[in-house]
Amino acid sequence: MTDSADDLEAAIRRIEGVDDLYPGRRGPLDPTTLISQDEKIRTFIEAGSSVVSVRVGVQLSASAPSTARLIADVLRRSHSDAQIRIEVAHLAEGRTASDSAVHPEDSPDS
Amino acid sequence: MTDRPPDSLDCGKTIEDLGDYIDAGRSPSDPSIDNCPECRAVMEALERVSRLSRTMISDDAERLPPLPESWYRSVVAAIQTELRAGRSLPISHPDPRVTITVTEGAVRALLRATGDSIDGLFVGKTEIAGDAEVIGAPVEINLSVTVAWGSDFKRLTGQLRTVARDALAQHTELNVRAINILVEDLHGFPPEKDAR
Repeated sequence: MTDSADDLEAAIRRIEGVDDLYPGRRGPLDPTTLISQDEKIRTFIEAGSSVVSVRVGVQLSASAPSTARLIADVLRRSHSDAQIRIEVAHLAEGRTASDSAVHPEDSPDS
Repeated sequence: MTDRPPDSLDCGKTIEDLGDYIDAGRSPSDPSIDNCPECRAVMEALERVSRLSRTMISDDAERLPPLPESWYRSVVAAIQTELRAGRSLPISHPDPRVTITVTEGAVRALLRATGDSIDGLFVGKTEIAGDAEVIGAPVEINLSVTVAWGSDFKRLTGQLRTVARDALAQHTELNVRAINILVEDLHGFPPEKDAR
């Protein structure tokens, strides 16, 4: 592994069609699984094999399969022997005028 | 088993939580909501149904009896149950060490958003019937909708079938054998939105 989770997250966010990255699902994990890294780019050991797992949102205007395969390519470059798991958890409409209207934290004085 | 409320999403948030958050202008920012894909999908759906119901209520007040409250409640209930993550729908990859999936909740939200984008039609319920967790297994898509009073049912449902099939082909590898559409209600939306 040559890239930090932050580097990987930045690289994934730069892929066209990626809307967001999300923390892994909450809830009990398989008892054989040991989490060893952060919540968005999760790497862990499962049955002797390293696993890197991400959960992403893809923009509606993109293609979930194509975007996910590009993410797999990015992850493969730094995790050459790992199992890679990508879950598309949200197909995002993208920001609309009404979304902007309900984001007061985006205003200059917030 | 977890002890979360039965009407909550996988993350534990309820539709009331998310409605309150929208009403508060999403402020103060709550990362547990903003960083949750199911919450975001539900909020997008709630905002669409809210916008449409206001329009429908306004229009119905002039032309038709008031829209029953039960309609809004039934759509919100459908959103609540449909947009949980649900099953994992596989996407193929040539490398056997790569697993790619799309959550069922994301796909049902896609169907809802796609249908709601059609003028004069609004999605009530969505369902993916069949063994969607197996690549290539045949599935059927079941959609219930309301359509605008006076509109051309056949044209609208044909349009829905086309855009739903295109959206599924764009974002999934589901082997869709049929898209079944049930028109279950009418609403008093004018056939031409610019007539408002």
